Amino acid sequence: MKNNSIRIQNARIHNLKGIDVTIPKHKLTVITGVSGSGKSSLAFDTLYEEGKRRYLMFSDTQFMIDTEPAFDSITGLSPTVAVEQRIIRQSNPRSTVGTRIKISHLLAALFTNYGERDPAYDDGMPLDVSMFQRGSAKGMCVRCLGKGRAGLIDEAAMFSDKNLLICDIAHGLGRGSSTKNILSEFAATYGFDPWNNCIGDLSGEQLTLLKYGDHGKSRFPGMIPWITMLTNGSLSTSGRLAHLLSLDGLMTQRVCPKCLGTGLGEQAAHTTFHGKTITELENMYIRDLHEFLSAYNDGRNPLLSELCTKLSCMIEVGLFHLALSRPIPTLSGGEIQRLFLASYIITEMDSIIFVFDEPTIGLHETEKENLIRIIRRLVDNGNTVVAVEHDENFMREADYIIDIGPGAGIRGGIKIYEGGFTEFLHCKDSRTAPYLSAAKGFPAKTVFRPADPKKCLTLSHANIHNLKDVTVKIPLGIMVGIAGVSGSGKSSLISDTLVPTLKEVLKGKCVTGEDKKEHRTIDESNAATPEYPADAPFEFEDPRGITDKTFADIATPSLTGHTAPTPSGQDTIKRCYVIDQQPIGRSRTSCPATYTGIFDRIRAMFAETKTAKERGYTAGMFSVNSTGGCRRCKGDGVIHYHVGFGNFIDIPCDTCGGTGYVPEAMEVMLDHKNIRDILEMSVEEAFDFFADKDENIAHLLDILKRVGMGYIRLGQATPTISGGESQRIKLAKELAKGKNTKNVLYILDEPTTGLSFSDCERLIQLLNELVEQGASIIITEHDPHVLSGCDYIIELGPGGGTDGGSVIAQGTPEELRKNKQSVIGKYLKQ
Amino acid sequence: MTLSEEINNYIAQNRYRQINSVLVWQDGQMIAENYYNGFTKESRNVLRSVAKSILSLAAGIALDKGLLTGLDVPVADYLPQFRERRDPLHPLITVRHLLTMTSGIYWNGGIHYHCPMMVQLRRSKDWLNHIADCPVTNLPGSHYNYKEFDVILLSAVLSAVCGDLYDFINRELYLPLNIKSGRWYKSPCGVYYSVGSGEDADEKPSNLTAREMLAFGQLCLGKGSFCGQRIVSESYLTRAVSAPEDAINKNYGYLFCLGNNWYACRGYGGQRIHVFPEENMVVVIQATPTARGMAYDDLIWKTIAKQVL
Repeated sequence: MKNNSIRIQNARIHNLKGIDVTIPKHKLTVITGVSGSGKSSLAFDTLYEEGKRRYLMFSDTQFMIDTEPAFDSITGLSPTVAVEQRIIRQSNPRSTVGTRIKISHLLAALFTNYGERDPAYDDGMPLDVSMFQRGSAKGMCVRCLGKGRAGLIDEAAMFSDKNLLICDIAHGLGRGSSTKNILSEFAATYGFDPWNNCIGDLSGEQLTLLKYGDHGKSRFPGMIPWITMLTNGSLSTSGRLAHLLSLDGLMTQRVCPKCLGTGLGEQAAHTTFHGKTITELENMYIRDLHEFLSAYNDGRNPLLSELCTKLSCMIEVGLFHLALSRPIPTLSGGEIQRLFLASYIITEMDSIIFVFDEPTIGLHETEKENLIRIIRRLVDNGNTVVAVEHDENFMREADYIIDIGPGAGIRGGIKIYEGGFTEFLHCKDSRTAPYLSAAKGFPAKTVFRPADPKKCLTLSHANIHNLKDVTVKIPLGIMVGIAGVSGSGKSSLISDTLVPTLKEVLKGKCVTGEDKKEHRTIDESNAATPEYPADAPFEFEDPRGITDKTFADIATPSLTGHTAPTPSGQDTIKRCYVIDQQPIGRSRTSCPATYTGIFDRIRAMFAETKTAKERGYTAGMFSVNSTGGCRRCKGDGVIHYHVGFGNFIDIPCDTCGGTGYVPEAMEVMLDHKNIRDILEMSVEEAFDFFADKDENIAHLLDILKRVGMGYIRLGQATPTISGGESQRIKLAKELAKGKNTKNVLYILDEPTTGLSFSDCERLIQLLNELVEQGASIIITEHDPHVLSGCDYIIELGPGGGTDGGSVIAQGTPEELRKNKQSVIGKYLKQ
Repeated sequence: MTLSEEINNYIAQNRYRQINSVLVWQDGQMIAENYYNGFTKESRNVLRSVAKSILSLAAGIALDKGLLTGLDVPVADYLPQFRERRDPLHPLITVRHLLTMTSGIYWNGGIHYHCPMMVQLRRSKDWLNHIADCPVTNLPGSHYNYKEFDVILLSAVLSAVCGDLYDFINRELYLPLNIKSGRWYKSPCGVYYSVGSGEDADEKPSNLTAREMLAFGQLCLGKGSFCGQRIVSESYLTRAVSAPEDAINKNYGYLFCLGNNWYACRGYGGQRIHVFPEENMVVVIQATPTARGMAYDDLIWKTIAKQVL
């Protein structure tokens, strides 16, 4: 028995209440439970951490410091690999799908050995693998440094408005504190006044000086050089100024004239494999690339065979719609997880324990079946798979179920069930089982709100990316689902077409996550340390300022020629909120409490206590970012050690005992709780605590509960909050403002990611209430439960990438079920 | 124990097998002249970046003669590739920036000859065109970054004003110092760069004997005069081997390394002309470069400085 199972005794990390579990080896075990019940604490923080620790200690490559044990014993462990979604946050912004999975290296080797060289660029010296790697200093184009594109300032446009004040040129650059002083000095030397003179007031000579400077005599180098420095040079940190100038049309991202967008040096850019350059191959969808290479694979070229095998693994895990050039930071958590899954399949190991974190996230029903098959194959090959999962079909496939619950946070952490799936259906204490046994089940919608043809948002001729001249009417005043397999064009239609169009016509009335970042002034963005802005690791945005989309556009110039889609019917929209999965807050110390603003009120309450007043403490004493922060760990509560190979160890800071606060702050009590105690509370606990203390806080916490976030801790650090969670917190924050939701449009992107059935049901209910109050909702979604709860579905497809980009079906869920063209139809709930 | 013996012992103890020659010259006298590995006073050894300091003095001479009109002259005045505004910061790069490694041009990959930037440069058809294509990532004059590009550009600028640069150096600097050097490596696109591709054959003509290196050090010690003959103005030389208060890098003059009461011409693999003005002393070290890029400065501090300073 011992050899056939992993036994964990008395696991007690986080909210786990000393549970014992036995996980069978060489089987697929699924850990279920409501969000926040302790599933991840068991799977990742106990099983994976210990598995990793023991393996690394044994292999002697690392030193490990014993932290407080979170269990009594674990037996039967073998090397453990976590296939998490959060790796994105440590990823190098330059890494791409191809580099991450090492296919780019193979391609480079293929070109080095089998590439055909253009005689005009053949210098007679042998090619080198690094010459085909744009991330390598030997390979990158020296002009664009491997980026393939460069920002070009439109000088004529920038200085065209003769009535523009000099300080207002380039988005008020002269008003920013980093420019202000040097520009004043410069202006004084050459006899003009940036605050009162317009461009038209300057003499020709003064204008030239202003544009290009005086060859270094003054500290101000001239507008054009200075903007170049701020946007492209070492002073450029966030790409913000470049972004603003691009919006104004003052800067265009053009294809690098030296490498023509390949990002590579001359020899590499003029080497081809059957007529295609390496860049062209890297920009192809993986499925198309596989097809292209397979045609030449006669089994005699080991590089080509290896490439085809790896690519077919990528296709198998459902990543056929990506290109190798796609930057890792632009992938969704689900895609990242599958990318790693692909690399494990490729290595064909056995006797490994794989721990998965909701592997079905972001997958279409048809793709899920495929994924389950792959995971099943891992098990059949002799591996053990443990997955934290909310997906129904996935649970049905499990050999073994462990249910943790019953509730979240302190209300969870107990083992409810352990055993086979069939018996699980009869488990009465579980909050998951009733949904599976149809004892509870989702109340499938039967009455659909009718689409009013007069209240429609029409998008005509959308062509971006793979969209094939899509014209679509999106009904307003109801709940609309956007469905389709991965890569079918859902995001292209909504995030890349609808949102930018609405932004243009609604201006400030269309609020997106991005806008909030833009409130930072130019100077703030410049003030950050040049190399590593403190918040960089947690930024999803590619620091180079390019997303996969712009990159693809540039790399394949033919895509850029699309005509702008024209919207109509937006007149009835009063406001629009785009609620995306970008992380909340930018700093390490931001958390749900700070993001939602309740932390300000809580700190004020602390500052109002008798003790605080007597000692003269202000609200700043209760913030780790202010006087209250521990000097040693800067409020983190832990000291972060890098132990090599990308691994970190966090040791609790012994100066503050891991609280992040100075002792003075901890001594102040609010109803027997100090500031740290409050941050450790889950939303549910905090709701009970604040219910009779502060109406505003209680109101917000109540809404957080209703969007399914009752389990999250007030002080949970941003990096540990998933995309789905971020989105729900943002939604709660918007809703808590209590504004009239009539004629307000909410755009959501898979809002139920990571939610258990019961939480999911509550969220759908809340969304329906919003619609009842007059709001419109557009949801991009894969989950059949959510889609079945919509009033109207627009389905894109039929496939991904080049096979997608058309509307294949639309109508009520009921109509889609009957529609033979629809792919999702047969999965919708009745 | 004489200084010469002490140097021998130190080299033996530390197994510095690559050192070929060590010369110590003080107050007009040679106080140690040691050769190893079969080297003699006629043997020639690579210069590597010592050639940078030689170019610096060539620039000084060009300035003295009025061939260069000033150090704050834009490089673009001499190099047409920098007049096209391929980078908006090109007009701001001056000769002084090249002398102080502050052109701001992008550079990656360490300071050695086999660095990736040089690999790419050497594979390009036209070096100057290649450098002009590289972005300027720092405001010229704001950031020190030791790089070959600045020296290659300086070589091109001097060629533009002095005629054939090797002839100029030979006539104005080497002949008065009794230095007999072959013609420097010239790239296919016409730029003098003594190291060439880093291959022996390219580099060999520019090799110097230890005594020739010493003569260069003596010229520096003599503030630009050698055996009573003025070769480069005292004002240029003084500035080249010192850094003003507001210098970006206080340890770098005009292609000279600066230390506390000393300055030096340094080349990869341990090549040194170390000048101690207060002690009226010059130390020369020549060595065979290895892939590890060894340096033997400890020899100076642990033996010579201990006895002499």
